[in-house]
Amino acid sequence: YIHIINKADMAASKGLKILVGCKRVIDYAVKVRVKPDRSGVVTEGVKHSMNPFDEIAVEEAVRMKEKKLAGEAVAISVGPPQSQETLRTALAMGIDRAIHVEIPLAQLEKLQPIHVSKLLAKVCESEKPDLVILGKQAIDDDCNQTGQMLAALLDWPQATFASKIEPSQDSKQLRVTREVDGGLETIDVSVPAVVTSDLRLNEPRYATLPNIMKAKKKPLAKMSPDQLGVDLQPRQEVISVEDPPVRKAGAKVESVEDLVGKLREKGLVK
Amino acid sequence: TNFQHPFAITNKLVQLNGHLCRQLCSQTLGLIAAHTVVCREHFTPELALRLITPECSLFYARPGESSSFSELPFSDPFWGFYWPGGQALARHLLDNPGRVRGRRVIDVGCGCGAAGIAALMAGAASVIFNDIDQVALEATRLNLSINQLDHADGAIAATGQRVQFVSDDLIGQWPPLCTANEQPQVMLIGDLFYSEEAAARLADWALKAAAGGRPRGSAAAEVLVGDPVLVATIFAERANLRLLARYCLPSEFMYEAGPGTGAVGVYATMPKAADTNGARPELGTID
Repeated sequence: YIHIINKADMAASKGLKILVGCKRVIDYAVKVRVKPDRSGVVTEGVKHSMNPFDEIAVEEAVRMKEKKLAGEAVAISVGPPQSQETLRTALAMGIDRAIHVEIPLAQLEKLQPIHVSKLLAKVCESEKPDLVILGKQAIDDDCNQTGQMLAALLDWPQATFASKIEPSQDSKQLRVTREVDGGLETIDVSVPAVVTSDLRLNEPRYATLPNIMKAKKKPLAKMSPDQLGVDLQPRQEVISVEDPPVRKAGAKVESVEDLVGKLREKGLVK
Repeated sequence: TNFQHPFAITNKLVQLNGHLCRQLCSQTLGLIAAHTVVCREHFTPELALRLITPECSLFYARPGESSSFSELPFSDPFWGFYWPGGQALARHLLDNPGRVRGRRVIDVGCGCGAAGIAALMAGAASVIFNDIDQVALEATRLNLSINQLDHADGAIAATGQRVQFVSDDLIGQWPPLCTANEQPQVMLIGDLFYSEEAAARLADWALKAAAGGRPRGSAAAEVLVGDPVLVATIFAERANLRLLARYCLPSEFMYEAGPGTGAVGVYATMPKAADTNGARPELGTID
């Protein structure tokens, strides 16, 4: 096919190939309710959307394309059939094509970062991206593991909690600024690499209808864990999921003396 | 959900082209009018088109999570936007009317109908507007009206040019319609080379059309393709297309974020050695 030759030529001369991970999660604005049997949270009929940190990852990939640092940006989502909606949003934001690794409903609830990172690693073997950008964590499980595990599986460098990504001084590496407890840390990583996005990396764009319409025509490929040869056997068992304890009301005191008195009463000071 | 063509006629006050008209019109026309504005801010300001612009609430519609467009009154309103390939095609026809003057034209995947309307303005004898979406054909009827090309009984009242509206998927068949006299002489294809699959189908169809189809003596047609340059170039060789003209559209006309311009090409099938009658194609770059 002539077009394949042309596409390869174009890709080679046009910057990094980026793979972006997107997870479909319960929308951040929803009031989450625990199931009566305490086996998990209620997901049926509840509004879902793209994990906010993943939106930031998608935005960064699209911006890198606009700056000509990247040539092709591919979005990937591991999840149920509805994850395709999430991928369509990524396509509408400017991603070129999408991959959906569909997980059967029975195995969905037991899916862990270890499985997702293995699936992503397998896809990286065939897609050969220069950069993988993932959200630092998902807002449903707060695991903060997939990016790190993926880097380890691929034996690639990782730059997590990124608040800035730019070419290094010699343009041969990526210079990533990381948000750490003590402030900001800047490191240079060679590509290919895994980067996870933090809140201040960027502000994602709002996809408007023409972009959504265009996205409908962009390619979306489907894959299964079997095709990728990854075992989804759970390594953990969720014992129970419960509401956090109701916060007890505090007491207000009028003066410092009162405060010391109360603390003495409770035996907290001598 | 698939939009069912409504046959219910309602008596509505519809604002068309700045004039309040009380007229019998279908529910669809009313909905299209309600969700679009008349717009000339594109590459062919000679044409007024009903489009979904940032002034319309629909522009900001977000697909729901349960089904793609459950919140929208239409499914897939591609007709609500003036895509770049169509803009380049229409521009080319308005600037080079000789290409279609007096000839029978078909606008494939017509959407808002701009390319076909430009062909009428350039003097085409007839235009078949073809789109598998019935709503697109309604939008086209509306756009004909606002450009003073009102029609009745398949003909434009003012000029006698013939118009037809077809919703069948014609891609792959040549000739596309039965009657020999009705076979289109020029085929307009705007913004349909959007995926490898789609482009492959169209490339093969373009070859058929240019060759004249089955050895039944059906006439060959000239195929004009309008598409962003990078996309169509990939299939140009397979479809035996040559670049006729190259336009630079501002990014906002291409529904792209960020500053700059994008290149859009108008391509044509290369004529067979024997078919040298007719206008010599003009080659060149237009910025």
